[in-house]
Amino acid sequence: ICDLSVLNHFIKEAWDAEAAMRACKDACSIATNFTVPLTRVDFDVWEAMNIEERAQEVQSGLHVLNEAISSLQASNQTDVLQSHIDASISNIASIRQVLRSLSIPEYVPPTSGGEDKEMQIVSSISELFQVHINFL
Amino acid sequence: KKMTNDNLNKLLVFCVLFCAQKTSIVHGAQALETKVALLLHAEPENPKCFAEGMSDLTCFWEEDEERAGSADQYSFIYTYQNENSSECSITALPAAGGKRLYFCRLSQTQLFVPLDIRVFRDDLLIHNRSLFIEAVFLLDPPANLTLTSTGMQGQLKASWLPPSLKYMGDSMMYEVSYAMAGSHIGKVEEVQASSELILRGLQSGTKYKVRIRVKLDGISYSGYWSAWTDPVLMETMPGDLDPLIVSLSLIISLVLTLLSLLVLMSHRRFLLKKIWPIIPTPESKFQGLFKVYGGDFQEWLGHSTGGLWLRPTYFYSEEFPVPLEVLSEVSLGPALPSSALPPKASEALGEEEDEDKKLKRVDPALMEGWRKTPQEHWTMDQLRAIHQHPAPWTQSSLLESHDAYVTLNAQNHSVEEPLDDILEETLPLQVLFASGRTSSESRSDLGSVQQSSGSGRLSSQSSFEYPNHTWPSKGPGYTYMAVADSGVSMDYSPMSSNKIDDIGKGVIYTNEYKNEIPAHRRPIGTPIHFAF
Repeated sequence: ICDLSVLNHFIKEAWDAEAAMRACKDACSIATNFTVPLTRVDFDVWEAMNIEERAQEVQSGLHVLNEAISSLQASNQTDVLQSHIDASISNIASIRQVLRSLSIPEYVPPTSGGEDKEMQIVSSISELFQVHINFL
Repeated sequence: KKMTNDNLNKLLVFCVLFCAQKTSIVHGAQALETKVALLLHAEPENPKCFAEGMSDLTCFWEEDEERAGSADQYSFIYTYQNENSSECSITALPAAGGKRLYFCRLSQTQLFVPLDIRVFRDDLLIHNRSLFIEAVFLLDPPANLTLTSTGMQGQLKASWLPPSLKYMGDSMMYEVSYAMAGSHIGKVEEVQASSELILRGLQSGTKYKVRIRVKLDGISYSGYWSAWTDPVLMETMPGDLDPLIVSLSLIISLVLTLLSLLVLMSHRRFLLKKIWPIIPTPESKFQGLFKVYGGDFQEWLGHSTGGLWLRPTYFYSEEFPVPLEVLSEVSLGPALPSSALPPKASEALGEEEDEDKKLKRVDPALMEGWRKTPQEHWTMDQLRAIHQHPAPWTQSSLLESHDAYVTLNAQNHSVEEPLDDILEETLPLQVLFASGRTSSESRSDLGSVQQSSGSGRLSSQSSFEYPNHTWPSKGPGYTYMAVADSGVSMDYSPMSSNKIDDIGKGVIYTNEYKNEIPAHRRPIGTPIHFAF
């Protein structure tokens, strides 16, 4: 189930979405900001973490990302972008499914969480989070 | 002494360790040198940075010696996204070509976040760059590249040790370059996330040079191509004959051999005649005629001891030659190789080219006496009887009487004499038999006979040769004649005028007989028909 080629496929789709967003530029600008997870990985730190901590980080990140992209979905976007958004959401859902099948505990971060990172919304969201995913 | 021994031991151990470290340091330095060279070539931006492992980063930039400052003049400031800046310590190293390199090395890194780098020289920004560390991997080349034989023709198996990086094994891409040893033109094969590759389509029994390099595939991680490994040489398996080809070629050659044998066997006689033609020579009958006197018959006669046929009376008789009449044609048994001919006949009908000239010199008068011995006579009645009953002669009837008869063989004897020569030098046998004349007339130029020229060759045999009543069958190309004694004169009227039929084919003359003895055309060789 945990086939890296599947994840690679998701990552490639995220690349495409990001490229499309970047090309869109002004037409796709969004007024509001999105909360997105941090994607940095320090391997030394990661090695030191146990499975629960890792699971927590991954799951909360997925959750936040899902929220952000879903909020994008609500706003009116072009058809091309909409397809990308839909693809990203479905991909995240798939990843969550994979994690569930691997018995990785789910985690929903508290809404008032301290991590309020804002990223470049339209263009870099996918890219940043996907790089996070690729690590996973 | 013990103390000195211990000291010496310690010194020895220290030296060994030092040397070992030195070699590793040397190796490391060499690796660094190659990577620097690679990046200087591959990366346009400054500073050039590369990651060798999961949590390191090495950055450097190049400056000319003249304009270069000391290391402390520079400052390397790096900032992860959403974090505070940090500084990296700089080391300067001399480089080839009058350059200086400035290095910065980070031992703890964060991946998947943008990293901002700024280089200052005396508070002046000289370089600025933003990068993702997971995108600038420059790995060491794979280790332990080995070539083995797969056991099959034209194949080699290359195997190597992938760089030992956690989580990245599946993201590694390899490029295997192989070429014939000594050749510069090589092929390249890519393989993903593997530690071996089978090279196919190689030439058998050839030495191949193989090398490999590694790069990250670019989906999760990416970077630059590593340096090539040192080439490894290996010879492919020696060429083996494809069993299918061998068997097929054997079968084909067998079939061809059989076919050729069949052809040879079916044309055995024909080929035998061509390859080993029967050349009757009269030499045995004329002792020393050709060897001693070179064919000069007169001279030979003068010196000879004489023979059965050499009675001077014959040669000087007034009698005229008896014309020969073909009474019928007889096809007899298988041909026997002819031995010597009766002298007169052979002289008349000598076959050898080189004997043509000899024959020319033969006195035509000699030919008039084409005789047999007295005891072998055909009576007129006998002849007439045969004449009236033109049944083909059977072998027994022919041989019942020990008569002399001459066989004239028509043989195809291809010789490259021009036709003109034939006509000039050799007269067709027709001169033997004058057309429209009776037997009383004599023809003197019996001696010359048309010889080889691609035309039929005449050979004659005497009945003397076959005392046992075995008549040699010369095949269909022969006509047989009974020679009558000169005492009998026969009157024959020709059927038609002589004509030399298509000399090109070699037919000497054609004729039809009044007595309606059929003159069969022979398929092989040229038929001889005699005119009267």
